[in-house]
Parts: sequence; C-alpha cells; structure tokens
Amino acid sequence: MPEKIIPIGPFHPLQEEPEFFKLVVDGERVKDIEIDIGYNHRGIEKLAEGKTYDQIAFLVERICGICSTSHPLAFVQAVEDAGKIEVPPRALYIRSIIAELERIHSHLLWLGLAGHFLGYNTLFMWSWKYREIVLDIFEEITGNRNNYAMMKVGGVRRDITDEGRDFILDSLKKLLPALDMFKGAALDDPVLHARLKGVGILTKEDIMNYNALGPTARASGVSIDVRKDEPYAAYDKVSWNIITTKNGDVFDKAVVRILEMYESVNIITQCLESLPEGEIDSKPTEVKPGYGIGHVEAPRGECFHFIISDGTNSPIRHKIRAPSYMNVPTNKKAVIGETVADATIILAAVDPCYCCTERMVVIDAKNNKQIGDANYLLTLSREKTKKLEKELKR
Amino acid sequence: MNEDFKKIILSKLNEFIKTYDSPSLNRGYIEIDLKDLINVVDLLYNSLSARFITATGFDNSKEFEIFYHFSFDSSNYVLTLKVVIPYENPVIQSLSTLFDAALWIEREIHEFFGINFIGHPDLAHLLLPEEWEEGNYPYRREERNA
Repeated sequence: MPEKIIPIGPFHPLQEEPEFFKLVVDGERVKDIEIDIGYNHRGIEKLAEGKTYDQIAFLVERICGICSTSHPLAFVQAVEDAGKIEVPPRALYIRSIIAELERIHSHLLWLGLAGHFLGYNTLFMWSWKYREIVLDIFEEITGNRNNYAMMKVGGVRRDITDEGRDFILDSLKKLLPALDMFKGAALDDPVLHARLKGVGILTKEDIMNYNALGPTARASGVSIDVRKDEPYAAYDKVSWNIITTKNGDVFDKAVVRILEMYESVNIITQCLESLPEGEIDSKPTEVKPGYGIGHVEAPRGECFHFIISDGTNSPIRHKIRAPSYMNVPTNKKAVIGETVADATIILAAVDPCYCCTERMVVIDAKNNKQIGDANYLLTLSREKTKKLEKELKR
Repeated sequence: MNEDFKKIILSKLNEFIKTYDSPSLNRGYIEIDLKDLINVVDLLYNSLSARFITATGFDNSKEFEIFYHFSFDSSNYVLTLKVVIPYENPVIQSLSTLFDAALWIEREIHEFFGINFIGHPDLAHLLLPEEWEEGNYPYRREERNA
C-alpha cells in the first residue's frame, strides 16, 4: 500500500496553540511525523522589551488562555529574582491557591477533550460541567473566569476575603465527589484500559533526550516538579505528594493528571486554612541591573522566564519558554509505529489538544486527492473504542 | 547540600570557567569560551545529569551572547552558561549532537539572530514563515539590521 500523508492543523478554535502535524502513514501505521509550529508567532518576547515590568505581567498573561496565571507568575518571579524583591507571606499563599485552582481547571479541560477524542462524550460534558465550579471560584475572587490578573511584581493584586475563603472551601467540597466520579469512570473502565494502555509509550530515556516536562515526564517515572524541586509561593509550607507512574503510556498520563487534581485540592485547602494575615504587596520601586530566572510548574510542566535588566523600568531581553515547547517534539517518538486511530489520543496526551481534527484532510500522497473528510481521524478513534467495547462485552 | 553540590560542579568545570557569579543560593552564571561549549555541556548533561531548560539569544549591540540554562532539579540549582559570539563570524557548535531538546531552540536563535549552528541537521525556519526575507534577523538590534 502506498504511503499517505495526513495533515493535521494548523488552526482550530479548540487548539491552545496553532500547530501543524503531517503524519506519513503506510496503511494503518504511522511511519513518520513532521511537526511545524509558528503559525501564530506574536513576538511577545520583543513586545516585552518595550513595556514596563508592570505592563509585562498583563502581556504574558495573554500567552495562553488556559494556563493564564503560569506565565505572569514565572515572570514576576524572574523580576523578583533579578531585583532581590521580597514578597509578603500572604501573597505567597494566594499565589499557590490561584496556581492550583488553575491546575484543576486545566486538567479537567484535558480530561474532557481526551474523552471527546475517544468517543466518551458524557465524560466530556461532565468534566467541563464540573470545571465550571473552578471558573466560578475564579470569577468570585478575581473578577474573571480567565486572565485573572492576580500576579504582580512584589505580591498579588487582590486579597482573598473571609467570604471568598469560605466560598472556595464550599465549592471544593462540591468538586471532590465529581473527581471521585471521574477517577472511577476513567480509571476503572475496562474499555479505556484496553484502549490506552501500552499506547504512545515514552521511556525514561526519551524524556531525558527531549527534556520533557510536567505530567508527560512524571507518567514515565521521571519525578520532576518545580513545586518540589525549587519550592516557590507557599508549596514548602503545605504537605503534598508528587504523582508519578512508570509506564509512560497515554493511560498513565491520564492517571497522573487525575490524581494531581486531588493534590491540588489538598494544597488549596491547606493554604486557605493557614492563610497568614498581613500585606499582599511589598510595593517594590526598582529592579537592579542583572539577570533573573523564574520558573513555575504550569499544568503542562515547567514554564520558564529569563530577564536581563539594565536597571530601567523594562527588561532589555525577556526569554519565555513554555512547557509545550519541550513536550510537543516528544510526539515524534510517541506516535511513530502506532496506528492512525491511536494518533489522535497520543498527540493529545501531552495536553496540547491539537488533535482537534476538524481542520484536517486526508490526502493520497500520489495524486494529492482528498480521501478522508474533516472528521476522519476522530471517527477512526471513536470506532476503535466502540469495537473494543463490543469485544469486551462478548 | 546545595553548597556541596555547587562545589562539585565548579571543581569539575574549573578549567573552563572564565567568570563565575552566583547572585543567590539557587542561581549560578558561568561564562565559558566558545570552543569549550560542547565539552562543558557534555559534562553537565551526561556526567552531572543536568536538564537542559532552554537557550536565550541576545544582542548586546557589540556582540551576540547565548545563555544556555540548565537545571539540577534534585539539588534546586539553575546554572546558566554564557558564551560570547563575535558579530563578524556568528558560528557555534550545535548541542543537537548531545540531545534532541536543542533542535527547536537552535532553529529559533538561527532565524532571529542569524547565528549558525554547526552540526544541526536542519536549520529551517521554526517560527517565521518560509518566505521570510533572507538576511533579515528581527531580534538583532536595529542599527545592525541596516
């Protein structure tokens, strides 16, 4: 059978970042993959050089709509590192609370999309329904469902009131039964076991070679987590565990994310219960010349910011490295040799969600003729799940 | 533990270090010579199992600088190697011979600064469009672009 090329991307409203994958397939098997990025390069690093430190916190918040607090947090930490700026303890606790709430809603979003790709649309609806609880918390305490504008150099912009604290604790109590339900629905389901175990494996060596991060690395038994390795905000003041598994397949990546949500609830509850009194902003006035590095554990892995300061009110260089920059190239390892039906969920497993397939066509490499319609990959993926369901019932 | 670990790294790298600065407990900045880059990174990555975070290109209006950031996760230490590249001959060894994680960032620095990486398999555009004007490097300082 001749080799075929399946292009995926580059644009889709569901995608966090526009990306373009070219799958070279021979029959059912993926032979090679070409990854092409840069369709939405916004030059934010260059823009930052023309803005003040206060403005950049808002600018980098717009890098990603899902993990929109990770970039400002990494950035303000970089400035605080360069300027030797102290942050009041109450602000550190609030930073941890916001960052963990974001992790829960990001992981729920991923879980929903993963369900959608596999044909489990009930899982999709439910996990996005319960994600609303977290978004409501954000609206209540920051004024926005997304882009919370909470981080600033030297502290946070808004305090959490006593009513706000009670609201978060009450809402989290409603969320916990939903998490239990997802854990049961996803991890005890025999069809999902058959569908996801042993699929898209990344070994420890692959993780080292690509320097992959976050849940992608932790699912392969590489226990890295900036929250533990370089405890920022209030992560060293509360007790929690790093979740690692050892198989490195898609199933383990789901396990890591689902169990991490429990840890996040745990961290938020502890932070709220021991929230220290005091100021939330040290109101710094200058940043000394020098280098500053800030990195945080975003939902997808380490988010890294580096600034060079010349002592003025804006940096002369601002480098940003998002976790997907390191995680996406691992697809080259994970997807080759797997079937086309599995490609969707493997590409989704690092949580960039660009296996959104509606922008995709399947073209015969020989005569450039379209052989599949927009939902081709999605249908393949769902059919495989249905087939497994039937086989298991028999 | 952190202090002991720093001493081990510094003693291993001793012969390569031109300048060393540690502004805080968890940060180190070392300037090394251009020609020593591969040896130093090999030591960090293979012997001391550092994790490559990323690299930052910079034009300081006199010459190019590249900052290679490495993390020693279990020891809570981020080490940055700085190399200076003359503007007249912007060429440096590629780290992609040691690990695949360097492939993308070297393409990015190549297209933004016009620095060439020897040993990189394919320095095609990463973020800029394919039809981008050749010789136009957007992150170079303006006076240089003219």
